Amino acid sequence: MSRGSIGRLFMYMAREKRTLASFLIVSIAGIAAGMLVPWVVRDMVNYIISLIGIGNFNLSIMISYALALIALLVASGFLEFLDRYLSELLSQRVVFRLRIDLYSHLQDLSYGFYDRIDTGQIILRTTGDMDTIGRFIGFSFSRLIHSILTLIIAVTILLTINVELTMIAFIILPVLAVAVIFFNSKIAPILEEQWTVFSRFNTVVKEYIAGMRVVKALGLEPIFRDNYMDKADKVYNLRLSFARFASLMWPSIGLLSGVASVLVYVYGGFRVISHTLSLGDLIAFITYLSMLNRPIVSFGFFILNYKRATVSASKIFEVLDAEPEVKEEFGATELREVKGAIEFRNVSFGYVEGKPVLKNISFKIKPGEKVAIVGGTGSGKSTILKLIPRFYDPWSGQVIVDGVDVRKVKIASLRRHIGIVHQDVFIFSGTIKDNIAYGKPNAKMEEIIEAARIAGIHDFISQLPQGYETSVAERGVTLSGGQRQRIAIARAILMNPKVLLLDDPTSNLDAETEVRVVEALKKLIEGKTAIIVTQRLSTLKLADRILVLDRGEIVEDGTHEELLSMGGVYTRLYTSQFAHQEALLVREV
Amino acid sequence: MAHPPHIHRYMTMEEKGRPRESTIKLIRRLLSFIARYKLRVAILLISASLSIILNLYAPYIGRLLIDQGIMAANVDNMVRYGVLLASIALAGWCAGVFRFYMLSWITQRLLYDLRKLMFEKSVHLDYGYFSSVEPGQIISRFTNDIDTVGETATSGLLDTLFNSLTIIGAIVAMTSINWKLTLAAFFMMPLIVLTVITIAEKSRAAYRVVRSKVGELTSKVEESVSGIREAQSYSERRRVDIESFSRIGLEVMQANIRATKVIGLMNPLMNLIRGGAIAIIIVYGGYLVSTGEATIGSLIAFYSYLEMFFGPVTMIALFYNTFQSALAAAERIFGFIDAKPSVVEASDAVDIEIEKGRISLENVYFSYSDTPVFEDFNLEIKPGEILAVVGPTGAGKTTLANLILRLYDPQKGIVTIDGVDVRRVRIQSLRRQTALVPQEPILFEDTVIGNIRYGKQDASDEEIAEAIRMLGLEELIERLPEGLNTRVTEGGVNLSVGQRQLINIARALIRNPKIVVLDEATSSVDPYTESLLQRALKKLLEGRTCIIIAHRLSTTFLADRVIVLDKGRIVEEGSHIELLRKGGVYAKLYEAQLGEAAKAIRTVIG
Repeated sequence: MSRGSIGRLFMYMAREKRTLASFLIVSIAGIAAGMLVPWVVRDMVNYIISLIGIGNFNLSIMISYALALIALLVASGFLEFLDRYLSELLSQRVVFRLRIDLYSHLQDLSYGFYDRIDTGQIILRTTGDMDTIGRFIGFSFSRLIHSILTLIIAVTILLTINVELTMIAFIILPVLAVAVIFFNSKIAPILEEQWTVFSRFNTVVKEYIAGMRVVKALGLEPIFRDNYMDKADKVYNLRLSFARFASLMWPSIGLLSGVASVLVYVYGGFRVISHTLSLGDLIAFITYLSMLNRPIVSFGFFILNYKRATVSASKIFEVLDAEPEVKEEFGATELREVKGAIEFRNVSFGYVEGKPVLKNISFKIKPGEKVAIVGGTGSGKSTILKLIPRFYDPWSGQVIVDGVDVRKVKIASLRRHIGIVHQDVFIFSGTIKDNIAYGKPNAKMEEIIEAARIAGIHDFISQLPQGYETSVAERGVTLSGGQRQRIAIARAILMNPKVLLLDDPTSNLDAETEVRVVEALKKLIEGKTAIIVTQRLSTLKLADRILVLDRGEIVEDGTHEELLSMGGVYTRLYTSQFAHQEALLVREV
Repeated sequence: MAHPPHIHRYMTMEEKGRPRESTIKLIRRLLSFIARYKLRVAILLISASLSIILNLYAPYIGRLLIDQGIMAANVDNMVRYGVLLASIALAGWCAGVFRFYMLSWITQRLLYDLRKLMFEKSVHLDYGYFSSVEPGQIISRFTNDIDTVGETATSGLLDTLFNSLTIIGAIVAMTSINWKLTLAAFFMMPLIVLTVITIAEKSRAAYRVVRSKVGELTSKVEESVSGIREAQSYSERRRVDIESFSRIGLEVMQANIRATKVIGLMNPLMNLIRGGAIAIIIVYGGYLVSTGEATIGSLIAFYSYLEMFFGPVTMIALFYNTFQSALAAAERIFGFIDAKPSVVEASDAVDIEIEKGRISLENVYFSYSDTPVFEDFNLEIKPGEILAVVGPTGAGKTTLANLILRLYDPQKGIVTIDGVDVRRVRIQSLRRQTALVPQEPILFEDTVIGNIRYGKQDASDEEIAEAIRMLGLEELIERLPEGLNTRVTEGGVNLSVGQRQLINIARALIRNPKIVVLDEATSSVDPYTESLLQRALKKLLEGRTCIIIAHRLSTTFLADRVIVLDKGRIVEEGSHIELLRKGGVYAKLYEAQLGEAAKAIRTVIG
């Protein structure tokens, strides 16, 4: 797949035709200008030598040589600048497009994808991997083009000056090529291993630092020290073995080209003495020969960076190729008005194959009805909620809203009618206003204030120094759990959806706060269809009807009183909270 | 989770950019680290000097080869100098190999030693430090900052030293060939300095913009990915988010291109100056050659030295740009290494053997910043007692737990265990006999069984299975895809919060601790499982002192005694029943949570 990734990268580059074409033209011009310099120096040296013993120094000839030289240097400098600019432009444009494509695709990938991947890995793909690709295009790739062009031009010039000298100089070339290939074959695997070891090292550090409370409380430092030092040792050893090869490689290239120029000097010297070569030619030849050093070194670099870029590109394309599991059907229709009837018809679903979380579930909820779902840890309560806005699709069976299978309608239009309040509320960086208007970015200020008022958070916001414009999240004020929940409730109120899904919204709150949040929730779900997953009795009171889930099956369905009188699972769940107190009571009374 | 207020102070301190400490001081400290590898540094200095000298020597021999060999038509001289040049190349190769390898060795060794030093520091630093700085920032010190220091600051520093030596050598060589020519060429010197400084300053500013834009981009991605579940619930967001991401992406692109333009100016400008210098020496030098005052060989050698001079100058200028941010990274690392722990093990600390598990806090004062959490706080926990601590957010519940576990030390007053001041005790010996289950459960990348084993490294599989059975968690484990061998992915996202909490409880109890703190340990476990667990805990906690911090009052039934904390003071205290009878804060909270049923219970109690 790796070759394919680089191929696709080139497709992105091919879209920048104009930049690419101007880059090529500028490159050729720049190299040509640079190549002319030794040529002028040659003529000049020959001229100076011709003067020796004669002493007939013509200043104007010398000055015209000097001016030609300055002009060439300035031109090649300017072209080099353009060259750098264009290759940077090329790489930045490719990276920009790739980034946007990746980001847009990330927006469309479904929950299933995010269950399998770490946040850190995704961030790495949009930053580190993009940088690698940027460097590859802006540096390695453009240097490669340069090297090829330089090689072609320089060799042509060398041959023009003297064929024999060229042959002698190139005795060394095969040795050089073998050396570069040899070192690369040694270095590439080391680099790859370095990459994995280093990312493991990073993981250890991350776990250690992020879990510091437990590390300190349980005295886990020795375990982590072993693990950490083990990875640090490996990183150290791998980098040293890389250094061993690298420190042989660079001087070796220098040595080989040094030997080549000595050979040329001595052989060329004989030719100069025998008057079959001018000194100017010899010096020009050696200058051109030394111009080949850089291209050879950058070939070496290119191979290394090519490997790195391949890894990065394949990681990026891996995400771009990930198909969202939840896909809009062709010809899906817009879901316009919704009354809020929800039905599950023989729904089965699970996250891991062969381990169903929901087993053949069926139930109906009338418009405006408030239903609570209760059940043990891992019984599948939250999973039911995730199937309604199509965050996942069921393995079998149907989820139906207002008589229509949710797979038959446009996803965006479906989600527009559904509001969700999670257990952990995500507060985005920005102002409180932005956070309330999160789902409706163009909401009017009055609407936002009204929503905050209903959610019972307006008073708190008003007393902040900057009111609704106060920054939250990373750099701003810290909100308590109850305040976050009420922001989330205000968010949902502003959307005014017909269906509300509340996923255990009070489990992280202390008793006092809980009372206030439940008050806000009550206002939120007024006149709406609501499904409430909960473990708390206070929240249970919001519901007209209760579904009891046990190991993926609905075992009881009815009002609080009905279920209590049944004496089944619900009774057990409900009374388990009091059972011990009753036992205490018996002891005390 | 709410952070202590002083977090913001640390966060504003973290502004990247110029180092605050004086540059000289930082460089000196970095060099003092390098100076420890005496032998290697000596070899490096020798080999680097040698390779510089050889580099400078080669054009001189080249000059002799031309003047006394080729121009004099002397074959012997030509071969002799040719062989000499080849030998120089070989010697240069040797010196180069040593130079590169020693430089890498010193860099990597420094990185290794810094990593080790930082880890040891992290062991000595107390939890208070870690809770006051964003974890991400500490992590980046261990990873990015160390690499930056190693690769940019040290090798860059040494390279700059060698580059300066090359520059000086080239000037000396040129002067020795012909001082008049040298003077003529260096008439350009002020221009060089001016160009280098201007471009270095401008590019530093340009790259600072790049870094801050990339930072913006990273946080945008980070936020989008972490909040994706929220974002996908709102269909409007897709367009808005892509728009704002595109804007940031475009800004990153523009900033990069701008920085390239600035840095790209260096070569054309240098070329201009170089061209001027070359033109001067050629015209003037050509004249000198024609009058016989200089030889053609010396002119060519002079030209080589001039080229040798310009390369290092450009490199130093480019290096200056990254050097400042590398120093800032060094400063952050030294800041971490110099941080003062507030929990320190006394030099005469002794091992403790907790027999009874009596805990007492006497006249404790503790504060994170100006406003104290506890002022003159007293609490006595009897051996084997189960104490529940309830109260609103910010009452000091978790701080109390941290004080008992000696994750924090009080600023005034003492905490004793079995009558011994915890500050006189070896920290590791205390840790072996205590355990904590945090509200936000922490799982490591390992299997479920591996995660439990963090509690007791030598626990056998049977021991763990037995612990799970005692806790009544068998069924829960069975429900996991691969039971105990299920792999936990980063942060445990493949398990529910409740499952994560239960694994943390098993980890804590397998240690067989004398003192246990359950900090909201079951907040996300369903009531039924919780009640089963509590029954199991009742038995498992026998003979241990236990502090249960609870939001949910259903968990307090286990307790022998309940204290209600508010703003660092105990406002109510007694058994569950006593407090309900009393009809105070506790009874009100209880009613609010359990509703009608609680009222019924209260009427029964009377």
